[in-house]
Amino acid sequence: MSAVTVLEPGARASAQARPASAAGRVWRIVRLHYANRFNSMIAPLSTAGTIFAVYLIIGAIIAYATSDSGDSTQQYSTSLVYFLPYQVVFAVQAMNLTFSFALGMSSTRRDFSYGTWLMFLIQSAGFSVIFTVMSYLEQWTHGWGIGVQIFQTFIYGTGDVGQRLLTFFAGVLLFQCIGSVFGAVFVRWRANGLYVLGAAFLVVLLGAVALITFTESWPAVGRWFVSVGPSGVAAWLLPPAAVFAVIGHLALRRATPKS
Amino acid sequence: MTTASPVIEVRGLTKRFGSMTALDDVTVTIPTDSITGLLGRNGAGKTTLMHILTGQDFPTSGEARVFGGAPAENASVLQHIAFIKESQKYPDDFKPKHVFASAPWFFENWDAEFAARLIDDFRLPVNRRIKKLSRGQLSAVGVIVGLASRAPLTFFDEPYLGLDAVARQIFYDRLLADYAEFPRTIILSTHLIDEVANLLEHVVVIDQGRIILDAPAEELRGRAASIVGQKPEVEAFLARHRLEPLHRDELGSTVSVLVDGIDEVVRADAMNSGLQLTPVSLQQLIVRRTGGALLDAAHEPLEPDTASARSGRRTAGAGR
Repeated sequence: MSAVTVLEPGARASAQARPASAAGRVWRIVRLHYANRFNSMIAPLSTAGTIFAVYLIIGAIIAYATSDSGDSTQQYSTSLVYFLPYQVVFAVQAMNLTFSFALGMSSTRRDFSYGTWLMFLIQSAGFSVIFTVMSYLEQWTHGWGIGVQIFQTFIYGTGDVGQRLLTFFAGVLLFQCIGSVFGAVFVRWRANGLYVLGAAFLVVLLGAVALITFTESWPAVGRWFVSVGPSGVAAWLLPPAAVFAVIGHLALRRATPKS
Repeated sequence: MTTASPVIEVRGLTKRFGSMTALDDVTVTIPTDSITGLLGRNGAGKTTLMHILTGQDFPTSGEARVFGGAPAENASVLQHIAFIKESQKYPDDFKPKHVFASAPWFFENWDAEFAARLIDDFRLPVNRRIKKLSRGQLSAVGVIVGLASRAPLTFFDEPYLGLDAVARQIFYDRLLADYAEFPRTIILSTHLIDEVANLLEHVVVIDQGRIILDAPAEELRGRAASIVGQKPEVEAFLARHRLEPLHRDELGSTVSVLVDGIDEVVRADAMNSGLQLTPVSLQQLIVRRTGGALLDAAHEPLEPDTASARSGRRTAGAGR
């Protein structure tokens, strides 16, 4: 680019410095998200750990109270589902708090968006591995010795290792991508954008439910879930996640850091 | 300019926020490897201009070129820019050490040793959460990033809110010393004009979204002066040189006028006419030129028509 040739004087200051490559510019955003490990690692892990501990204690109480009835009573707990909404909060924070700073550090919105998305992928992959390991531990310890099922629910954490990894990964990623839309819309249009987006979300959800109900398609929906299987359902979470990621990216393209 | 093509070239740049025009057909160039003061009152458009030059915001119309390219979403331009602003937000729970650890990823010329020395100079607690820092300490974080990044183009937008006089002097001293060693283009936006007047090589004054002054600082220093004398003589002098006073004070038969556009001929004539001519500070000149509406209200301008005709700029006279 001509930009570099014009830059003779500044170049004096940096004999060996070289401009960041496209991959480098995206990667530094990932690093920026992890610069302070509390927000990006410790807080999400503590949240997962807290949910785990709470369910373990509840499970222990129930096991103690119903000690005569064996271990078949505690299946299908929803447990880790509560971790998913937290991912929305996590994504909104990652977007909102880091966007202004990244732009202040002369990053482009494009690089910030890609880097943040890459961070979501890493985050989802990390949790997918952790939860999969935990689901096997849970299996081998017969529900942590008290027959609770926290990491193996009817939605995820069952089946072979590939299926477990995929369901955890897709679940976390979907909610992070939903969060990224809310985060990007907040960054661009502030609270007003969130009102509109929230309303739009509700309308789409209700509309879908109404459509299925009025056309009496619930049995068909049920059949679809059965036919695609758990891995299929998990895989079908990825296209909406991608759509949300694209919407978030587009919203961010013209956003400006507000002061 | 004797230097190569200017770092910043702005042509016909307009920025509107709804019905508010923040920048109104701005055309200006900033010379390479200079310290330029971007001066003006609050809300004059300084920050908006810098936001556009650093790609934080998008122009409504017109053109802003930095290092030959449009800055918005242009990584090859932005990687040479450091923008230090008073209102910079940091991620929650960030500490200064996180900022300094991540700065080298973004600024290729980052000098960690220099940053460490500055941290000592400003006595900045690097391990305290940014939210808990005082206003001055928060400003120090930005000042350190701006200096140690050694970006070929560095913007300081009101960089030292809350910094005490000692810390400000440290900033000026380090800036000048480092600039001498690593020449680069620095744009300094501030209200403390007198403090930075000696640092500045070039001055751009913006008022109500328009550039009203764009000149080398040296030229401005000699250009404005206050002229004191008996009223008829001063009036005759002003008429003779078609000078329009920016400000006037009268005391009895003595009048003191502040005029812009002094040259050798004018200076010589003032001496011969027995008028007292004293240079005024950059701050005084800018206050008079940008505070027109407020300050002139108490004084009827000499010739309102010529006032507006001369430069086409917005004056109180043109409005009436």
